[in-house]
Amino acid sequence: MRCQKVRSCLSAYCKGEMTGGRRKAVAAHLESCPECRREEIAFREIVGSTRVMPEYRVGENFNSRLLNQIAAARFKETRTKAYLPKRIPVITWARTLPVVATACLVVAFALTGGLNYFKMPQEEAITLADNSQSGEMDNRYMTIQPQSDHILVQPASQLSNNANWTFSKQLARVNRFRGLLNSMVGQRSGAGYVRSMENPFALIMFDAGHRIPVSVIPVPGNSAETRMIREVR
Amino acid sequence: MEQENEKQTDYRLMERVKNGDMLAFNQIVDKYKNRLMNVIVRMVQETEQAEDIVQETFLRVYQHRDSFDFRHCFSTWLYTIALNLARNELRKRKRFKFFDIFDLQGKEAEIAVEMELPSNLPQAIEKALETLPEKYKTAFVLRDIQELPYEEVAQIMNIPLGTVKSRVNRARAILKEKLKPRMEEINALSKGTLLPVSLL
Repeated sequence: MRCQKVRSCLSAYCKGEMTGGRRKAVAAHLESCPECRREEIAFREIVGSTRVMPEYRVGENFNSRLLNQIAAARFKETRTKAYLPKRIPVITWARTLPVVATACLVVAFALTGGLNYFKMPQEEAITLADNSQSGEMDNRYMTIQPQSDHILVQPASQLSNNANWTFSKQLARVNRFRGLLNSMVGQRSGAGYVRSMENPFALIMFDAGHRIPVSVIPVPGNSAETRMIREVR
Repeated sequence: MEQENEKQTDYRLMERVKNGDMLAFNQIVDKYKNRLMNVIVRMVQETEQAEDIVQETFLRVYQHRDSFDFRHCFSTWLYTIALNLARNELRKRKRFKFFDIFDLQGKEAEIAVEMELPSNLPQAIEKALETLPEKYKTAFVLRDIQELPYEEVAQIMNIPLGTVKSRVNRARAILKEKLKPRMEEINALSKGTLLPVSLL
């Protein structure tokens, strides 16, 4: 082994960290090289001295100071948890999601003409009423229903003139009842014949699920027409 | 074997600490406070500050007792926290570095440090340690003064085992070079030989 190589691992040798053949090789070199032996002595002195280095100790009241600190930290932690959350996020998904969802629903409702759903189409109604009074056939009313499965199957000429209701009033009432009915249909799978006892008025509606066209017909009192439509069904 | 027993004792104590046992925590503090102090003083070179860092270390151990991973060695965790705090302190100091007037006047300060090396070798090593770069100092203190195994030093410093060995070796070589004149002087005095004027 050469001197340079031996000197690079002398500290490990002096610390007893070398084993096997390498240790023997270093020992053999040291026996023959006085320069390296001098280095070895220097290392041994340093290694020996590190074992008797001055010991540092913490102060007398170290533990009590530490316990006080821990108590203070625990108190702070408890207070923080009890009264003030560590971090109050101003905007969170939990908060914003319902707001965004509601806003989306409102916009969608407005865009699809939701408000018009509740409005009575005044001009159309007046025209239809006039036509019904003149007795002329006008099929335009067939298209005023917003839902394709709710159509008036009876022509206006067949509507009863004996009733004290004008057609527009009847239609408005029908719309209101239809709304009520829709909500009922939404809750129950089947829909059929609904009749108001307070007014001489009746609604007949069939569920679209049965592939039967749904009818909304104003009928005065216990009309034969009601029975007729039931029979048709 | 002894190390394994120590590990098991630490685990048992930490289990109790996790359950809120302050007596167990006190036992841990008593076991490690001086060991940590010996490392941290040599890192920051100020006794009071070192004690504060040791306090902070134990406080953090208590605060994060639930996050201790029982797959790892407790002492490794403890030393890592302490050394990180010491490093933070040294970093803070670097930001507000004060220059000695002698540093601006050439090598007078360096000469003064050399002449200040005490005749007692352990104290001379202590003094020479202050001039070591931080990475060599940490490795040397943990390995040669604390006598921790190389593997644990590697884990504490978060560096490969080979790097630890090389750093320790380098630290020893630097110290030997720094202490060589002092050792020669001591040897000469013990043998009663005359010294060159420069060493007196």
